[in-house]
Amino acid sequence: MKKVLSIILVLLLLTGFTACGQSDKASGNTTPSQSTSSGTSPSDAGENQTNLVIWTRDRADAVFMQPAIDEYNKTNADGIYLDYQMYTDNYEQALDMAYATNSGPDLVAISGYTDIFVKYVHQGQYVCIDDYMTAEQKERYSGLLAEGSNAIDGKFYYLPMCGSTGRLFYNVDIFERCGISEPPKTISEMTAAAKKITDTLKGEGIYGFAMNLKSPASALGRSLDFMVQRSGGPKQGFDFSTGTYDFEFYAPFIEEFREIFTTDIAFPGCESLDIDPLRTQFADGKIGMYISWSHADPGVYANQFPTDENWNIAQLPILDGAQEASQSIQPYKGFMITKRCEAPELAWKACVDLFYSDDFVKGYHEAGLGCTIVDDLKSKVEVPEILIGKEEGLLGDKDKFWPATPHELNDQAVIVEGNDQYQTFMELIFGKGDIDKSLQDLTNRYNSAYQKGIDSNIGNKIQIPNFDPANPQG
Amino acid sequence: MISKNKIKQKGQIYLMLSPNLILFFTLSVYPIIWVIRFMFYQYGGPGTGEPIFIGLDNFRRIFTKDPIFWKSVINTLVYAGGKILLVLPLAFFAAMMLTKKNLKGVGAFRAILFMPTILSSAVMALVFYLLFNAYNGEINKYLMTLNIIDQPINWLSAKNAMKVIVITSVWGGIGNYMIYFIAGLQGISNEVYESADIEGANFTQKLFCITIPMLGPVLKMIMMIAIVTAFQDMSSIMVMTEGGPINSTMVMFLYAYQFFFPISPGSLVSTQFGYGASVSFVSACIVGIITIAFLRFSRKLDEIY
Amino acid sequence: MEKAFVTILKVLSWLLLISLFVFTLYPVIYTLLGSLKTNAELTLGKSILPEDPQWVNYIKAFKDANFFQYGLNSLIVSSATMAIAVLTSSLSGYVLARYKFAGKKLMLSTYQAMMFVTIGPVALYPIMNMLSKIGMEKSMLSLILVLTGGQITNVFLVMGFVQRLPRELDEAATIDGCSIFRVYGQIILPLTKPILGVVALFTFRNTWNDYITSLILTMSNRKLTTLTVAVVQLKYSVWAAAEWHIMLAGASLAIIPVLSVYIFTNKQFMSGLMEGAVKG
Repeated sequence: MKKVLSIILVLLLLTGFTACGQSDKASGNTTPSQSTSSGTSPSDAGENQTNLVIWTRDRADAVFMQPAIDEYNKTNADGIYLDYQMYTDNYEQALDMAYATNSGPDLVAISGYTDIFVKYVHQGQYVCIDDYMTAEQKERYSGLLAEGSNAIDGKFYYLPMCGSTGRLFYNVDIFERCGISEPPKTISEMTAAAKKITDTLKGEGIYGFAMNLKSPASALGRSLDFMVQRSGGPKQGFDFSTGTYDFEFYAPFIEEFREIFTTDIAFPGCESLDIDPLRTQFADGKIGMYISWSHADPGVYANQFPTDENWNIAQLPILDGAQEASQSIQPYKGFMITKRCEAPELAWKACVDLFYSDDFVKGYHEAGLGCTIVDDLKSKVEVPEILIGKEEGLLGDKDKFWPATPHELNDQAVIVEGNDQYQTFMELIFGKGDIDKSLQDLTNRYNSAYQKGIDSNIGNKIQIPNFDPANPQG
Repeated sequence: MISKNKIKQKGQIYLMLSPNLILFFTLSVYPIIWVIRFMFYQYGGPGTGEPIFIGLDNFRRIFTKDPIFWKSVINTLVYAGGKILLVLPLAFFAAMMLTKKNLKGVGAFRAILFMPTILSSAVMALVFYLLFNAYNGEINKYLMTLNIIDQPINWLSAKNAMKVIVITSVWGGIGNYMIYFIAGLQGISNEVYESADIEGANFTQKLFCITIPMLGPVLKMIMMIAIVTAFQDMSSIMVMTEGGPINSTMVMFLYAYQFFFPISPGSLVSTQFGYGASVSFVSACIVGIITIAFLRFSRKLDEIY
Repeated sequence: MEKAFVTILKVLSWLLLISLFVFTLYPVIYTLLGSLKTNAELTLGKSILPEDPQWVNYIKAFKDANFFQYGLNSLIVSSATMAIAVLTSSLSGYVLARYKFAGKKLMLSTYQAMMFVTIGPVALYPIMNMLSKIGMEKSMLSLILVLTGGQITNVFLVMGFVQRLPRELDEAATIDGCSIFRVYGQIILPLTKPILGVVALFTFRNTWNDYITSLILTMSNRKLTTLTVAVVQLKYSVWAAAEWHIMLAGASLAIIPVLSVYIFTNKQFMSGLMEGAVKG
């Protein structure tokens, strides 16, 4: 016993010494999937340098971002040094802790996950950049203001470099082999196509349809939500023209998905399938089609999971017989200045000179990392290499900015009791419960939560009479 | 002089107790006080406004509008029941087999079975997650090679996930309870067995009339520990299924946890601290009720024997 | 007839026991051997042994995944927790076993109650909150103290052990004018070595293997991450979909230290548990 304890003590002493040496090194933010080997390092910073720390969650675009930042650090005339740190795991939680303790970075990268936006704007964590924007900039970006996504009360907190939305990704060869000439345009065609593929090719382990339902909100938020909007329905259940929640519109969609997932048409195990394993299977040619974000997946098949499969992108199928309306663009990739930053003007300048500069945005677009949404840039950019022949992957004229729903504006204003919409859909899709009854119950629960928020002055009533899903900003 | 000494002694006593007491109070008692306060409030966390006093509203919501919570209660009961029903007999069996003194290398055998307890349940859950993977996992590969099945089984589906979770925790628990049983068995003196042998008792008679009754107190303690730990088991479930497809492996404390922290990196948290506090309070009460029920039940058994 | 029945029973029992051994050992062996395979071997391969040991997997895990730092963190945190646990539980256990004081009953009954009352990891939120209010939520000291905790079981273990020590020893010392501290340090501490060894061993194991508490407390400070947390987090990284060999190498790194200690100390683990079981 003594022996063990003394061994441990000696080890402890040894490690104590080495640990002191270790703690001076590295930024400590290395994670399994990346190495922060930047060209320049903080110790290169000269006397009059202003060090700005940036936190980001994306690793996929590091190959583009890091060299651009290094270049900027070397050449910028304002003595700004950008310390780009990637937090690929627990990004939201790390930010949460940082804000709660009044520490954290100077600039925060946001990539379409609004849960680090609204809540923290209300807390006053971010600097409103409206005050820094010139009139010219305000004019140029006015069309990109998305309440609840990059702006609150009409004031910008970051300028979106690009936008993303949902698209159907399908394997051309599999479709051909099953005699399907075109990707499905309606949801019943989608189910039929999936069924045909599975029936024909199940023996080879190939299935018609898959979805990363391990996280219902993530999977359905990139698929069902957009399909419903595009068919003229509500946004995440909220009908802007009546100013209430109404999930009745979802019924036919749920029925189609129910058929896919309960009659063995879908790839087995979707309820525990995560997006990366799904993409691996698609890259291996085991999946006929699936739905995902337009900005993310093309890059994945070029860099992360290179594939020889002949795949393409199509618009999302809509409700049979419906008129094509529009689907919302999720503003993606921007940099917010935190209130902690001691040199906000310099931070803003860095953003304008680097991240929001036309060259950068153009480069980002052409690298296939994200579609630019700035109007006058759209005509100047070339189609990114990875999207040549797959132009449907770019943002089109049926992709528009929609207003924000009450729960997107403030999740504390709509606290739903029981299953939220995505969990409800998940259960219905897998065969549990009566669709119409469940959707009615869901509607009631959301409306009472919405009303409760209004009554206790946490949320506001939102109604846009004569709202037109084809023209949401109209 | 005496009183001065006594005071000095009392001072020293409290001083010696203080480190442990301070840690105990701040880390075990204070959180409970926090929970009991916040379960009457609606609170989204710093920056989302002041906590709002809502009285018993959280409880109304738990008891009338939260099917997921009650599903998690049932899942917890199924998990605990399954784990205990499998682990205890197997552990007892192993203890019986490995208590014979004339067995060579008994220490090594026991060490093998005890090994899972010293390994991290979270890390081994990760390994089991890989083993039970539907496509590339070893389990399916073996079953297919041996032609027991011809299609890979989806082990982590809504139907099967609970079974896998139970198997994983049984794997981790056999050795632990085996040691407890061995300790108990060693407490039964040999003379009792010898006199039974003289009277010509056979194996089954010895087992049921001597071994099991004399294990009574140890068995009671083992059951208590098994129940309480099974109800609290969370890390392996969190790692393997995160509450399972469609909440099929969601257990009570994991459900409460979700209102405070993300279950996995990148999952969204709807921070509802007040509601989360009330859920954990109700869960703790449920565990408490079951514990008390078990104690009453075992007292009755004691009387019978 | 009965003899045949008994023999069959014996054979079946041995078969069952052997299957238990296989069942217990298999996942560990899979982890250790799998860490030396290539990813293709793991997903497609047939045999359990690696074809060509890929030690490079470990190098990758150390370099790219910074496991040296994390392993160091685990070692420091586990050792420190172990030391503090031994100290605090033995101090309290001794006092509780030997002395009367105001509030003793309250303390004992609260401790006993808290063995069964639990609110789960939710308790971490108020603790984090409190820590950030005093600005300590990123320090290693906080991690160590939170992982130490109230040590209820260990206090009772030590208390029971000390109660069985003859009183004459410390009574003699007190009469000679020793302060309680000296009695504790010079007499009790040496005598309680066996039980303190058990406390140390179990505390080290529990801290090394801890996941949820370490996860929450190191979320805002990646430098503190422990090995167990880092290994499990591999599941959520890019590698999870396609690079199992790295995950298994990581898992091996997490379990090999404990296994090595276990080879030498398994008797102490088991007897410690038995001691606690019988007397507890």
